[in-house]
Amino acid sequence: MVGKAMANDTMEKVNDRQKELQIGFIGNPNSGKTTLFNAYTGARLKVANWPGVTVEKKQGVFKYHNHVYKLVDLPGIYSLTSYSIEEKVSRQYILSDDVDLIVDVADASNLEKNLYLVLQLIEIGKPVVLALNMMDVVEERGMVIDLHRLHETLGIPVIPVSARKKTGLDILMHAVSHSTEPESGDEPVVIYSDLIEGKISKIIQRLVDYDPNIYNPRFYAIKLLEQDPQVMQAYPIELSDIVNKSYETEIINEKYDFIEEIVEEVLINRQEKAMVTDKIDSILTHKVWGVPIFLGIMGLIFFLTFAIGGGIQGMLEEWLESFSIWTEASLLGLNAGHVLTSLIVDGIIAGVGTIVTFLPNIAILFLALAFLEDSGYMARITYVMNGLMSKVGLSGKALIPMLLGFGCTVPAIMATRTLENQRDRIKTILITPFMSCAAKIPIYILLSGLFFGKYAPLAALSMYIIGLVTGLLTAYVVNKLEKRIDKKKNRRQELEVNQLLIELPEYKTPNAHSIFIYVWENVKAYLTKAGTTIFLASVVLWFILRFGTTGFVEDMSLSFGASIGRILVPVLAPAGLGFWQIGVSLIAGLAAKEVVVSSMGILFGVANIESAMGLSAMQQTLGAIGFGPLNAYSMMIFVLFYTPCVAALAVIGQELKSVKWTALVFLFQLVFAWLGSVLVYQIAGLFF
Amino acid sequence: MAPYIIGALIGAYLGYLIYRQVKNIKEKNYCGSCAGCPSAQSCGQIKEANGKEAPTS
Repeated sequence: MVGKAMANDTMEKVNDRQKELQIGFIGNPNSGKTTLFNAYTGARLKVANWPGVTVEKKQGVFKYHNHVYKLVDLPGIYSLTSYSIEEKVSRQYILSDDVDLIVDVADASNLEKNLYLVLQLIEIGKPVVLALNMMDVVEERGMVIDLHRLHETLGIPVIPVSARKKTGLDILMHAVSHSTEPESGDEPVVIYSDLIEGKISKIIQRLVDYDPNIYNPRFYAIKLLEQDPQVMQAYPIELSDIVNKSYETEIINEKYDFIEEIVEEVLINRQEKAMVTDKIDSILTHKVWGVPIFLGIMGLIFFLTFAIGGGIQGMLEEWLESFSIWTEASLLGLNAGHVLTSLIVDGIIAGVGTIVTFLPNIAILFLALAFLEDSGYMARITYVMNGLMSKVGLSGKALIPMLLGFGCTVPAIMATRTLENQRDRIKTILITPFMSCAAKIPIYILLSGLFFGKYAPLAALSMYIIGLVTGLLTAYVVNKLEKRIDKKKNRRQELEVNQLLIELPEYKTPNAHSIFIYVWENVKAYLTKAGTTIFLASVVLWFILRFGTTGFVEDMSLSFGASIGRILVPVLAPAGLGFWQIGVSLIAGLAAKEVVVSSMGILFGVANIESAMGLSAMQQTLGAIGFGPLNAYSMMIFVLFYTPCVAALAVIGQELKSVKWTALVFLFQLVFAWLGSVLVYQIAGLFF
Repeated sequence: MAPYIIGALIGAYLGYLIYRQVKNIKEKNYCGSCAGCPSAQSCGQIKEANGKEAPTS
């Protein structure tokens, strides 16, 4: 690649004499825009093969042959309507004066679908370059695209690229540098039926009368025929004698007829398309078997997390054990005193160390998830689940926050912004924390590993299933209640417009580099959190557990923490969690869920909670206070449902912009967790 | 002397962490405490979308 990538902050240093063009990268979701953007700018924006990942535009700079190009990565969209937030963000930018040239990144292996947006972009009248991405997939399938004919038909440069393999990037930028003026001139590419063309001509005349300086009135005339609300607002001209209804359907159909003609002409061996993918999808997205297969795959992942993760952590355990002993001896040798030694060994090493020992399990889990995502299976999960959403009264778009919730609740709650309907947002915000975030994994691994032996992977997996099912059931119940209230108040139900469009990518062999980046970013995030949030929380915990009214205490039952924990004992007792230590752990978990595990390390004085010795010591200590498998499962249920961490709660408050609703969500989750764990403990107690 | 240096280092680091947490909360940057989190990117993207303002309830 000739060009040299530069970061955003170096933009100011670019020589003013050099020409700077602003290029908008646009395309259908999952067409590889972000991968291409990253390849040019050296950025590391999150890339995923399911929709909704890029919601706002991201900028970067690329230098090519003494020209400076400002590249803007836009959210993936299927058309230039203004129904969704992604479409609004992209369209607003593309129509603005800021953009000099549009690079439409299209998935060559799915030409029919991608050409619709291409035609709309050409209609805008700005220079467009078509980057035909995923040409490697086209070749693999034995298909051929007549690029010369496609260029002739569309009247724009057509450049084959592979963002993944970084091929064709130079030629694309070369085409960009020579395409600053529209190639097709005034001749429209799509010519509609006489009826539509007649109306377009009349509207153009009125638009020019209204605004003599209007740029490309044909585009706005088409939008006015479609009765696009934003364009109607921008150009409030009298058209009742021309536009008696919305002609959107007719315009869409005629565009697709034209696309069909193009594809017939330029695509050779079309029948080869997606044969393998279709065969695999007939099994993996089967309406009956789709969900059980997904659960089976998740079960296998948990088995690997426990089996392989548990197997390779031996070295880490030994090292931590030795480090803890060495630190204590060294500190005592330095006459550091009991308080400082205790802070470092019982607080910091026990708190942070316990979290670090779960790193192999976390890495294995993310490795497996990276395989699922990069192979294209993650998009299938969205597809399989999408059918369930409308049945429980949720918008299909609620799936994105729910899936993000399995990683971290904070961005998941923020992602509810893509839901236009306020009721949908509240329902989704209510149930998203039920999806087990990554921070809960160490708790599941610890408790199931301690008490469920060979069934540990099943116990951990059950938390994910219970969380998902409960979330969907909660949405269903809330929806029923809503309908009943609406009926009582004679209020009309709002129409559902938030359907999720899912384009299933082709299955492909996962890319080693993408997988490495995915796992590394997650491992780095885990370690960063251990060194910052967990570190701080561990020191605070150590303080409240090692200090009491008499000052420093060796016996933690005399500490401030014990006094706080004891207040909760009567409340938590029906759930089998009536131990002051558990109360303290659960309160500490509000800072970050991993702190539940750190606090257990501090509370039970085990520096290395995952080692055989550490596990045995903890089992003995917990057994001595009457904490068994049933109590452990009840605690896992409580952790699954109870109020998310402070950061997530703050985001809920910010998104709902209502103290009342935030307090209600907080209480709902707390009461739900208590009821859930009481039910599990009491009912299971009858049998075990 | 060494214990004092170790204590001071821990104290300084804790002070820095508290300062960072408070700063992030003031800036409503809830991903700030997990700067290394891969979700922080999408967090920021969503935060900036729609003119930084969430729909009101």
